[in-house]
Amino acid sequence: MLTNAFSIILIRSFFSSTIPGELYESAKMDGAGYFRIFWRMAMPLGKPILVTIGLFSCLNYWNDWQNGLYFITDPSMLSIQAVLNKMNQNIQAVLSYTSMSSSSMVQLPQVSIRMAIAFVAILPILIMYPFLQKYFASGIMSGAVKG
Amino acid sequence: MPSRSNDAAETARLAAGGLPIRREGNMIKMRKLKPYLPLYLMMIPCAAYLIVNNYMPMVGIISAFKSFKVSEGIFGSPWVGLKNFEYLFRSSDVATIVRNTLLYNGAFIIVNNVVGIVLAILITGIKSDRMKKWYQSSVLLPFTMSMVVISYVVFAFLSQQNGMLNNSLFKNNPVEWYNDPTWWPLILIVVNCWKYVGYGTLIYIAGISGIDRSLYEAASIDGAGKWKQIRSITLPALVPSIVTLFLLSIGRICYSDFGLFYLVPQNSGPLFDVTATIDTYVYGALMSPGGIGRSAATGLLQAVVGFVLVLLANAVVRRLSSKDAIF
Amino acid sequence: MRESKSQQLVFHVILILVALAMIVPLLLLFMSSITDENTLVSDGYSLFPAKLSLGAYTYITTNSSTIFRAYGITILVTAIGTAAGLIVTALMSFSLSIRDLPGQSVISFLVFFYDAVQRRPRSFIHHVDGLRRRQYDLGVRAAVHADQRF
Repeated sequence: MLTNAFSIILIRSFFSSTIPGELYESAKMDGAGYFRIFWRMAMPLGKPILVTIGLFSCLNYWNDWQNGLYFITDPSMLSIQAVLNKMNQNIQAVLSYTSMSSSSMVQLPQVSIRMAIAFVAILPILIMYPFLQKYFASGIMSGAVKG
Repeated sequence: MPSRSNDAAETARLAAGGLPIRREGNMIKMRKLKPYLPLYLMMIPCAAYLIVNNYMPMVGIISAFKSFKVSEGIFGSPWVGLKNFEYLFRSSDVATIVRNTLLYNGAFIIVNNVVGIVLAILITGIKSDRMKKWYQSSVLLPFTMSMVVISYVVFAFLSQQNGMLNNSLFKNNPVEWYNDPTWWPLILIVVNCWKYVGYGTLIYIAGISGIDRSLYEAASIDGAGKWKQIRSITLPALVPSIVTLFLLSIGRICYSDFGLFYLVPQNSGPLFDVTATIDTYVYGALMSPGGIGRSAATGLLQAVVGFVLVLLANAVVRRLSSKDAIF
Repeated sequence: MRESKSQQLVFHVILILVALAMIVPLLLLFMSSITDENTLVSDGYSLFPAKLSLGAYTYITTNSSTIFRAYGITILVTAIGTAAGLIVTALMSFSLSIRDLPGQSVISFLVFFYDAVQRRPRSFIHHVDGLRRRQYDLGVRAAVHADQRF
């Protein structure tokens, strides 16, 4: 999830359209190499698009549970969504292997605790949502993000 | 232009003189590339990531044609040609999963877009800007939720013993939601709409906001009612967005939202016929013996069919209205 | 314009219902997390529980080290992943945006090809669309140049 073609296209079009060629010419005449042009010129100019892409990337990483499902075997290294998923899986496994009569003897985690963990998992998003909502909205509206 | 003809002249001269052209040609090329060297260096991290993450796993496609044994690995496993594909098509599940995937995707496309357009028209019809922002935010909020959390929420609604539905609306005759497949197509469509409709709504809002206001004024002066205005001004202006979204959805029609179909039904056996899709089948086949070959075969088919469908859909749209086609 | 009072009212009512439909499920999640466990078992999940208790949250904060660990890991992965991803993407995009870079179209194609074949045809479509638009732009620019010269 580090990068994807869509983000590359988007930032590239942004750079193409908002940085005129003359800027590069003048910077090169002043003796700046490409990296310095990138770091000192392109990045500050590209802040809006980088913020939008960065926010969606944050959201993707936060909500990712599939990497924990496929690749991680050590349960102490799971992300929070993967932990939720694993809890669900364990409970399903327990319920499917024990008959109804003996399920009362099995100590399943209490329901309110599971719901509390789920709520804690979305809490940062809920807190930041009112402040960041306009970036999400503008990102989607300008076609910046795939669904 | 001058440099290119110089190179050609140089190359021709060298060829005539019998000197090895290759080294000179390479040196000429290197000279052209040298000023851009920092840029090529800057591309290295991304190239490395793409090679490792995207292109190297393509080697695994070979396992679609092999009977994969973990001990032998990809290259040691015996070659079985198209046998994995045969097994896939002959299995009794393939009709179910293909039907489910296609029908659900069709339903999702229709429902999400219709509801999205309706919501966009409603929201842009609101006068107060503050309320507009509120409605927009609330419609987008479920988009930020992870599917795992959504599966917990659905469980809270549908749990048999103490779910909210069974305790309020169906108190007298509780429904065994997770054991009864009849309602699940509707449930999955509703959940999918809940999560993703905000995305389409925002795109359509952007489209509607781009319409010239004076068109509406002219139409109402000419006596057109609101419904007619919507039909003849708003909807045609949204057609490019609709077509683009439609084309993109067609390309993904053999893929399903794995989280939705794997997590929300809570892996319940009786629901298999209505909630199994190609992706859940691929995932399930991974666990069965010799399954990696079959999973790879299914994945390969998905990718090829999806690619062909994108080309086909674009050709169709180009035939109908060439300016809306994407390529 | 379409502004009659009654119409606005109807719009507002519908939209408020929609907004509630979007938010109520999350509210249910929150209410069931602060509901007393016994009430949950006997009365079920509800938006208006009979008895509230913060027992779940005290359990999380005192007992469960897995939750803190998972939280920490998620925050770490998100921070590092986003930062590294942005830098890598920006470097690549910047390089590709330089106009006369040799091999630009080849590299662009390689970057987008995988997404096209796999489950993300959008980027491929945008890529080809961009190529087509660029040709169109070049054509227009050439035409304008030709015009201006005369």
